[in-house]
Amino acid sequence: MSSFRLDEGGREIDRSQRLNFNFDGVSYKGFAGDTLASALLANGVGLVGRSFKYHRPRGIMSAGVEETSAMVRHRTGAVTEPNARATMIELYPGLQATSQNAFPSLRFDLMAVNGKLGPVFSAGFYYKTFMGPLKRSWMWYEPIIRRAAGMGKGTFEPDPERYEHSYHECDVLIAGGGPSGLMAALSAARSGARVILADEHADFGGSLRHSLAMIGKLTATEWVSQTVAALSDMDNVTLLTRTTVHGVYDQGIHGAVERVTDHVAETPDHLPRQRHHEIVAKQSVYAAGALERPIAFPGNDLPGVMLADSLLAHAVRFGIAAGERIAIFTNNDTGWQAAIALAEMGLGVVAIVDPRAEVDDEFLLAGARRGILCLPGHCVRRSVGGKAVTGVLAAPFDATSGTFTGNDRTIEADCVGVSGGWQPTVHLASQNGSKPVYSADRALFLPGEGQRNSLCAGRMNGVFDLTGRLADGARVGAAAAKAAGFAARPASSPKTDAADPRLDAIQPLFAVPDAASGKAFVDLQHDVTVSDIMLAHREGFHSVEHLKRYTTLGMATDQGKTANVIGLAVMAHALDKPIGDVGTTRYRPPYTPVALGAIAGRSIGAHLRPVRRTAMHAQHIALGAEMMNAGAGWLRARVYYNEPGETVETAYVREATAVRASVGIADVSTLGKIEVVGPDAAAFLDRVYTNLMSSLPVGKARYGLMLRDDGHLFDDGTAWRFAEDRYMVTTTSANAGGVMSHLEFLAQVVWPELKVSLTSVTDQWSGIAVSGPNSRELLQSLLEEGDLSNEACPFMAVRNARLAGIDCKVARLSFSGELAYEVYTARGAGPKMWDTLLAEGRDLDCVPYGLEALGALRIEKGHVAGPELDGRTTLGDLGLSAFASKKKPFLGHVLMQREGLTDPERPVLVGLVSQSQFPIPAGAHIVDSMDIKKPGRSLGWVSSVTWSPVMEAYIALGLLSRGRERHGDTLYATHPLRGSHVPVSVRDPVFYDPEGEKLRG
Amino acid sequence: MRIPCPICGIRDSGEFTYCGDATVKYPALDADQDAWYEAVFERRNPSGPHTEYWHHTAGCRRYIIVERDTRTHEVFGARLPHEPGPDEQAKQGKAPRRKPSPKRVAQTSTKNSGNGVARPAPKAGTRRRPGSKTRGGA
Amino acid sequence: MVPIGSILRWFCRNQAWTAALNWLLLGQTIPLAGKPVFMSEYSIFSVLRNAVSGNAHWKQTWRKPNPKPGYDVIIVGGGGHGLATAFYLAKEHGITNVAVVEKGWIGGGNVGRNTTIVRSNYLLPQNNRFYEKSLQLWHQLDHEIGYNVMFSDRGVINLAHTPGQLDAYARRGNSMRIEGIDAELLTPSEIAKMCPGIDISSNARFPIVGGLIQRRGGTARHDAVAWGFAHAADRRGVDIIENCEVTGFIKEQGKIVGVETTRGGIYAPKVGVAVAGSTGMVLAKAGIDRLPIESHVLQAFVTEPYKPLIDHVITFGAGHFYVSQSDKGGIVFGGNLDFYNSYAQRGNLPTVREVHEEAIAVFPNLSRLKLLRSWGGIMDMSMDGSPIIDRGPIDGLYLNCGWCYGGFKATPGSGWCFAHTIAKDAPHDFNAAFRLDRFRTGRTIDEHGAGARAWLH
Repeated sequence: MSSFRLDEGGREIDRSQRLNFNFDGVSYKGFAGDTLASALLANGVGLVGRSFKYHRPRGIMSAGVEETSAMVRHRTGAVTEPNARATMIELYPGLQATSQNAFPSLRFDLMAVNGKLGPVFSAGFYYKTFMGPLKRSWMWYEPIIRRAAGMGKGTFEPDPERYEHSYHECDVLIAGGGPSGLMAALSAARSGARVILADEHADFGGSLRHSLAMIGKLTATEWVSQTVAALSDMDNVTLLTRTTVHGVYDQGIHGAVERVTDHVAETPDHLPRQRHHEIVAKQSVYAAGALERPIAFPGNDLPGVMLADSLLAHAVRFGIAAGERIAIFTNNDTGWQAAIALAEMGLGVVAIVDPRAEVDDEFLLAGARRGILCLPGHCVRRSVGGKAVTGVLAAPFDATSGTFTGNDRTIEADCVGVSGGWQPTVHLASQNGSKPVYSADRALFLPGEGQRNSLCAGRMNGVFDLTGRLADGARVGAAAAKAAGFAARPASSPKTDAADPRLDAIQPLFAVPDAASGKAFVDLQHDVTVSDIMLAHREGFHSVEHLKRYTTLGMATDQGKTANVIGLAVMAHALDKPIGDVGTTRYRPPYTPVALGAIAGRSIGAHLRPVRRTAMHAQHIALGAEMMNAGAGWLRARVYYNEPGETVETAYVREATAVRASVGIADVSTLGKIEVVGPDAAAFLDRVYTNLMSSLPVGKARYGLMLRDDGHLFDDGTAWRFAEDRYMVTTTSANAGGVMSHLEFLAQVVWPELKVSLTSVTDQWSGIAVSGPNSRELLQSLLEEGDLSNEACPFMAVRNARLAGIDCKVARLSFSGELAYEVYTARGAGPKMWDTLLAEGRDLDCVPYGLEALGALRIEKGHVAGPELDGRTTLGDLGLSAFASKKKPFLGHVLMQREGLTDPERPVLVGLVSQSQFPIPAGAHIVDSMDIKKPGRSLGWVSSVTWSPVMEAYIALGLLSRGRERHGDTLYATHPLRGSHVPVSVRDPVFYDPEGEKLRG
Repeated sequence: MRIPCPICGIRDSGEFTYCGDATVKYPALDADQDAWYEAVFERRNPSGPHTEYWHHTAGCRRYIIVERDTRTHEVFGARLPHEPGPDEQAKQGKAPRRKPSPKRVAQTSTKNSGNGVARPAPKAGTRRRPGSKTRGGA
Repeated sequence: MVPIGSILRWFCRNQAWTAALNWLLLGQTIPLAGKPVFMSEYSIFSVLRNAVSGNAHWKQTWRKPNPKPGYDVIIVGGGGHGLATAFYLAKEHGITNVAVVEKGWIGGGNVGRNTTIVRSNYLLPQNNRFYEKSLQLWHQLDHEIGYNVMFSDRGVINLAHTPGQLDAYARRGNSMRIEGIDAELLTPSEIAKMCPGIDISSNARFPIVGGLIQRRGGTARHDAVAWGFAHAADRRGVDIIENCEVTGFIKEQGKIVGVETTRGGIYAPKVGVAVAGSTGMVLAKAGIDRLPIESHVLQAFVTEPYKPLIDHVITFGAGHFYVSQSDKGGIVFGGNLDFYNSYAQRGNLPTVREVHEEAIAVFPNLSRLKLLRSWGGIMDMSMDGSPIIDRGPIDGLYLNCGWCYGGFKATPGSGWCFAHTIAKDAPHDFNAAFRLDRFRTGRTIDEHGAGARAWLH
């Protein structure tokens, strides 16, 4: 192929601005305004890529989004974008692109041997082989096949660029800024609607960008710029270029992606690479135009075979002659119109082949006048050429019988423009619920019924003549505004001198006769040929979905924009059915491929989910805490490293020992806190907690458990009674949100008759647990008045107090089993209280302790927590049946009595003590076999493990089948993953102070 | 998807938490096991109009009852619990949702955002499990 | 690169050699080692032979028969599970007078729209025993059905993000090992080595502290599973009847004896229903209007094809995200349900956004790759997240549903167990726990401990 730049013309390029760019290591020159595709054509570069399966040489076949052959790797390094369409890449200085899917080189690709073995690699061949010779042989073939498959190479480097999200509401969204889209925008905007007009290209205009028509007294270009100017003057209009509306979702929500800096050499810091728009539109107008369809003939994939209209686009927009000798193969008038326009621009159009015997005389005349060989009643048999097209064979053709009727004649051409008709871009309409319907007279699918709150405009409505498209746009824009609640003021639409393409004069021809005899490509990128479709038919893959999945037709990166209808037609022919009856596959988002990063936006990396820090976060960091994720987004201190060389293990043992020896403080602000207020608060809590809360005296707290409605344990915590009608309940940190929603449901929906209000106050309080034998002394020393003696403040008492000038609530609760208090202050006062406690407690050796020590202490005490409350356990399992009130029904108690939940075989809570010097491994199961090789059946599992300073042994809590009967037995905690198998003795889960003298003392 | 919150107006479904079939009513706490089994585990799971709870977790925190089509995701309207649903209103001879109120707005606009087809009134008996207690019902 | 070594080994295996020759020359099945062997009509030889003759002689992968008036068993639902059931009825129980009736085209449901992950890394023994049986069937499937489903045991890695989560994974891995299922723990550095591009850094929002891998897990070519089972069942005499919608059930004395369809009534003493998301709609036609099942939409996503980037199946532990790369090169991934009842095979943007956020958080190098297609499947979410393979709820009726996310990996196991349950009128040990009445009795199998909220499993 010998494409070149014309000496003049090219309305979109600036010949004064030469740009260097680089393709496959060779540097070329183009002009500002070029696309990579047009710039390559200008430099006579025909071979651009290799196809997916056969690695056939491929060139540029279009001038737009439908490009399926010219796929390149755009940019390099961390900012590499594989599978970019050369026709959509705007040229900028220093642009770098490389070809894909070729080894060792684009010109000489070893994998091209696949093409020679074509029949072997027919559709679905891999389902039929690679099964032998041995079992699991596939694992031998797969790596080879994976390497051969795929298209572009990705990168392992993180994407350094940024993506933004943007949200809009509008009255009318218009997708597509061509003639009908622009008119629709004008009408809708003049009617007063808030309009968003989006177009996927760099400039508005759509097909007008290469139209030679006069609109009124203006050229197409002038009219577009005038209209766009008018629109941008209206403040109820938002114009978005380089923005593809890619998805339609429910209630008028549309996804659109704006390519903000893909067209410049380097993204400036203040800009994102792309912006993802979520647009909620009362009404939407799809004015996405139509795509030209090729015709399948053997060798139709050679570089140089292009869509007829794209030849015109390249010539008019970029001043490109795609070849010196151009042959046109068309079955409709648009091919002739393009050919004649090209000839008028001085391009070498040598022949026009048209299967229709009857062609409008004016075309024939115009052709003859320009010395074009016009062959009506002829059809292309195949192309000629190797790495590029050098000509076509054409022969007389009888349209009625669909057969060749005479001898071939060779037409020498280095470029073949094909027009097999047009297909409206029904994607968005179809995503919005309409099923495409086939219109036989014009051989195209139109959007059917069923679209919600949207209309189509222009060619999507089957209106193809320019004047009509403008009028249709005006009409539809007004209709959309009206539907959105505005008084419609349609813009007056101008007349044009454009000829009517008269699509009804088409001779439906999708593949030439005996196309199956050679490689006639339907889906160029995936190398799906007519014979593949015939094979699919032969093997019974008749449904369009089967056809697509079996042959991969239309599953390439262009999603079959030019291939699908041809595939359907070939299948329909084989089934001897009308094309309409074969139907189309379902259109799904996105319309064109969208970068994952654009959809992800900014919530990635460290910002994936919000972080919650307590008021004392800075204190913890200063004290050398290792912070960890602790559910519900909270960061909590795991341990505090305050001695050199400490590990998690040594640190938590030091902390726990210090608490038992004297006193320690822990940040418990993350506990969920809900105020339950109202005359029926007590009654409400009685229904949700398994135990009685109405009997709780004011000024006291009580441990409580909640069940799910299915009778399993949901959450545990304490209820504090501040007044007759006022409680605060605490929940586990991770479950706070779930419990709040659960209580709200019960209060609002199930028991609305109860007068109770719920408020989450988790973030309003800072909470500090002060634990250890000296905790009272420490607090007492800070107490301004009153005392915390056992009489004044007994176990489970809740008191208002003033500690070191800070108002707070002191609750005598103990998770550790020691004499302990929880001190709650206003959130902001937390840090001061924390610092004061540490300072005041210095001579008591007061230490801060983290989650690990907290765990160690509660395990010694046999208190259950998250690992035991795993959503599958019951009151009975955890030895908490005493908390199931007999005096009243409570949520979950009915289904709690199902046989499965009362089965004596159920694992129940036990204590475990390691019988060796080895720790009991977390995540171990409990078995009775001493042989790690043959552990036998799992009798239960280890839920929480720790070194117990008190027991001076590794201990654990676990759930063990018939556990209570097994106290005293020796079993094994087996951990095959780590190869450990530790003998453990089973015992009561309360290791420390079973009588509870300490916490009551 | 967009949900017309009767309190806050139309909001993105991302603000809400789905809470399942709203035709299911909790039995009395001391009801028998079958009643509880049915309420907790058995669902009609209809293909078509579905009455369901949504919790406006990132908004007013109210539980609302939404009428939505599970085939098309079309939302017909929303109301607070214990307000009469379209079928009850029909029974009371009222045309569904005619009283002007903030939520009217919400509902009209979602009706528009539907395909304009009026919501088919559900078959009698499909909304309530016969014999089931509706506690705190309107 | 030609597998010469393997081909030589193949020819040396005398039995196969004679079989192959015979197959090549006579194109017929011959007794191997005494007992007649069902030899695949698909092999490298048939491919070559047909290539020579221009691929003109391939038979239909499955016939297109008209329904007979009666069968021994009718399977409602031509998805993976229904077709697998038919195949194992024929192969394991010699019941070949079977019809599979499908409303549309076979494999059009979830077997044709999933993320193709196959694994048996479950915590609860009732689950991991069943899924392990299924996984073992996967490992022999291509040879068993004579169709290459491209099952690829590339390993399934679960990422852990807190010490507590790693302990929970260990508990799960150990219950697998105790059941004889492979599982190993991975360190962050091992994970980094196996998964180039993954964000292993400590300033990730949820740093990776380790992982659990099941090396025998992996992926398979989903559509091929449906076609392969259809092919193998068909060649054993099963009638696969497409475009045949069940409109009602034929009852006699309260017993199901057949189905009414758009292609007429079909009788059979046993009717198995395996219709996943449509279970409620189909059973309603049998007068059962309530089940412990809800239908929810699950979205899935695939990028354009790229050269190999991800060699394993990877799941994110601090959210819900799973990813693998298909042999064709597409990055296939998914996440949470949309969280509302739905029969529409389409989802919405909040879930799309969430899944992509997690994708880029785990693999920041995927950011510039492009989403090619997204779609939705209808999940039959059960109230405890585990399946139902059982007799009833009416005599003559057999039920296979409640697969939640787990349906694809279960396909052979589900078919195998369902076939056993239908043939023997009693469940096999592998599916004994998957009873329909377990919600009533409280013997639920709640892998996630999420309780009776279908969409939370």
